Amino acid sequence: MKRRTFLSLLGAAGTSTLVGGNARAAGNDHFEGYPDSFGVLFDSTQCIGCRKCEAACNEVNDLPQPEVPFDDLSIMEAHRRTDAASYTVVNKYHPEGKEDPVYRKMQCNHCLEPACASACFVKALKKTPTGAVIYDESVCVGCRYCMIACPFNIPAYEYNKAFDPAVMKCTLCYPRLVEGKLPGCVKACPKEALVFGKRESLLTIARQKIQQFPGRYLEHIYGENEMGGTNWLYITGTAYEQIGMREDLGTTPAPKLTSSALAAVPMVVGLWPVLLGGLYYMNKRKDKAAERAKEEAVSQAVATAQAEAQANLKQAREKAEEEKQAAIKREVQKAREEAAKQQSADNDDEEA
Amino acid sequence: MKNGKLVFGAVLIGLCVVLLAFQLGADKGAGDKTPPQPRPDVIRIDAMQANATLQLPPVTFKHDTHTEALAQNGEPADCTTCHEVKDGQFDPAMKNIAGKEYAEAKEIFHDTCIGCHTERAEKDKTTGPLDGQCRSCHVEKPRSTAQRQDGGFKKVLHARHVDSKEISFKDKDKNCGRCHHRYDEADDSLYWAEGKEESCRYCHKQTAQDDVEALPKAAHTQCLSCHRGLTRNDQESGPLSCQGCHSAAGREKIQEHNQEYLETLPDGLPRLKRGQPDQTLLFAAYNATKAAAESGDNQAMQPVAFDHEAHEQTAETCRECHHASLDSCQDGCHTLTGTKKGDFTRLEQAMHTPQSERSCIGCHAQEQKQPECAGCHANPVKQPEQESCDQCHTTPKGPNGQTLDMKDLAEMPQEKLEQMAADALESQPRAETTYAEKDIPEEVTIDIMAEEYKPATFPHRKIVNKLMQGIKDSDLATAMHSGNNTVCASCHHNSPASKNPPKCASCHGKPFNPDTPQRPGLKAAYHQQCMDCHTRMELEEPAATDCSSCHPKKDAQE
Repeated sequence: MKRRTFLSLLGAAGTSTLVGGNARAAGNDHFEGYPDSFGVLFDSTQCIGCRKCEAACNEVNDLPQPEVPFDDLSIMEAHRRTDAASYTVVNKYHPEGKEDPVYRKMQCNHCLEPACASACFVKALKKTPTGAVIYDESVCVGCRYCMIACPFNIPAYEYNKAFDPAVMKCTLCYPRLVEGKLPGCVKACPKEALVFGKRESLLTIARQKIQQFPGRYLEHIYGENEMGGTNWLYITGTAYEQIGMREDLGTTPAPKLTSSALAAVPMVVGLWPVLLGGLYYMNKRKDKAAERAKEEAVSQAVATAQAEAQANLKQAREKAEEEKQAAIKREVQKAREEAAKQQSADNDDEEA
Repeated sequence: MKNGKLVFGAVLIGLCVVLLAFQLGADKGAGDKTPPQPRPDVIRIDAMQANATLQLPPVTFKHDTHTEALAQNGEPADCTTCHEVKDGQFDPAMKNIAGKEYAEAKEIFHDTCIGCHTERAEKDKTTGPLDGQCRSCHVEKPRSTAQRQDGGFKKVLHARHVDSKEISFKDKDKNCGRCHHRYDEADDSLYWAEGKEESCRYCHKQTAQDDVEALPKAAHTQCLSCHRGLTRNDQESGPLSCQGCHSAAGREKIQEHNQEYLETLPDGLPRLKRGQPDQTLLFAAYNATKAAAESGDNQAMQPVAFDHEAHEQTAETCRECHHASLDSCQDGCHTLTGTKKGDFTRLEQAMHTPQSERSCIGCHAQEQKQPECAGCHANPVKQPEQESCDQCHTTPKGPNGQTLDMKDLAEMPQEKLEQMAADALESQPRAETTYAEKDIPEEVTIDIMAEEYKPATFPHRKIVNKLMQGIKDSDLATAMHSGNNTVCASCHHNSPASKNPPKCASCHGKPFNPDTPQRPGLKAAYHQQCMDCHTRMELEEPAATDCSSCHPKKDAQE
């Protein structure tokens, strides 16, 4: 291909990407959550680090017994994360400037627009109207894109199972919610550090608590806007960074981060072949026409030359023929004259 | 080109080396310098920058180092090396500097300081920087920074000075005039106004104002002159060095001496006699007469009977309440509607602002933060009844029990009013005891939700007794807890005080009721009540996570 052609194709491809515009995730500008969806508010100033929530989760979900029993409180010093047998863990933090430790429960935050559900191309993870993000093991292919996508690093995988591994994460006790029961951890907490209710009511309760006890809480409800909002909210008296929660996530929901790139795919797949193919075809046709013209010219020239040559040859031949005839005539004439002369000579002789 | 690859490789390696060097250098940089040491005697000589642009950074001067060096001959340092002493009055500024221009002042400093250093260097003694070593004194970021404790001249130290035989004033029997003075403008002199002594800070503020010297200068002049005189006469004296008053070690020593002094007093610290009342009535105006005049039809708040004597015992200095003057609060500063002189702080704010440390309510709130009190008073559910004004603003009653209004009070002499205040405070119910023991259940068994755990036996009487212990030693608590059932109100909240309060379960039931979003369910109500109070009172046992210490676990079969 010629360089100019290549460059022009590139330019066309690039310009066509501007045609698309920003695709919006799910077609909405900002998803506020399903109305009346449930959530949980965690108040770290109430949590005493007793791990009853972990024990209850383990029981309600029929998870295997852990190596270290739930009444061992020293394990919280090591900052654990959720794994294949623990949907939730409580970690102990020693924030600077405070004498007393602060405890934080970690589990799936049930985002309003989950990154995991967005990354899953088989729809194994789904956001339900109850607020829970649930997992369907039967369609999961085990690619673990959800684990990579989650900004909170929550989904865990059953690597130890060879034939039917599953992604393990908190389900907000969806089966229990559907029956009208409380999630296991919420029911077990003796201090009601976990408050259950509709997400809107929880936000109101959190704001009331913050207002009622000035100086006790930070004026920031974690999960109100983080990653577009989550159904699991946190209020705390210590900086979130100091209790292991990321503050650098921003408020853009995860699907929106990739939606513009993804929206380009149909265009790339649909538009580019047509457009670029057409351009290529036009270029090729032009080349072909030029080729043909050239060929024609060449053959014309050849034909003309040939015809000329033929004509010349014919002329030469005719001329040669003519000369030959003339020569023959002359020779004949000459011969005749000779003959005549001879004849006359003979005749003379004879006369004599 | 053949060398192309070689050059490229060399550049790449060079880049890596540079980056590596930066990384290694980064770690080293942080740990190399020791952090600057804070000392009380560090003075930055930077007064000259007010009048000129400095050519070099101000000098960081360590005063105690120099006094120690000068004292090396066995004698205490001679202050006149740098300071002027005129008529026994010691000037804390460098001598001959006052009023001089930049160039001259610089000369004086250099001559004095470097001159002395040079002399000592000639005698082979350890000394400071010499001529030419400019940046050894003029350091941009000094290693040592100034950290001074407050001078801490409070009531015990003051009493020691009052009592001291070494301090005398002319031929008077009281030595107040030795320090306490007032300025007479007409005479341009200082004189002692007997009976009108006040805190130095009422006139001498942190920075110099008009012709009034700043407090540090005034205090050093006053204190050090006297201390120096006593030291030179080999008498017992206060500290002369910076660290003697302003370092932690120095302050500890002073506290020790204070303690020793207190132990010599059989009846405790005597009251400062400044003509203050023992008990008095505080009116919502300067006095009863004014209150009557302003209020007209008895619209002013009732007066407060105030025990000035009791409050003197808890305050370290008069300034804790009398922060700008010893006059009455309402006299010209904190009037009902506020004045410019009082920064427009109204009387109500001055008396009641909870966040202030000076207001009545604010100071009481500070006391309530102690662990013995915080269990109930920091309880977010229902804070003890503080909204009732009656607690302090009592209606004064006449001898026949009739209500007295402002006009009646305005006509009474001051002594009568003070007597009324004393009587009112005397007759105030004091909450030294609560209900009789037989009326307080010894144990309460909570068996309402015994599923995983056995019923909890709650040592009710023990807890009430513990709370009473914390109350009865505090004057404030016994005065404020006006009834014998006030102590019950924090746990038995949101219900009228009674001997038979309602069960917790009558209000707390299933959790997460949207009608009462802030009200916990029964299980959380119990746990929050007990655990949070333990946390506020800083009790380590029973630990919140030690479930079986309050209710043992049920065995599997039960």
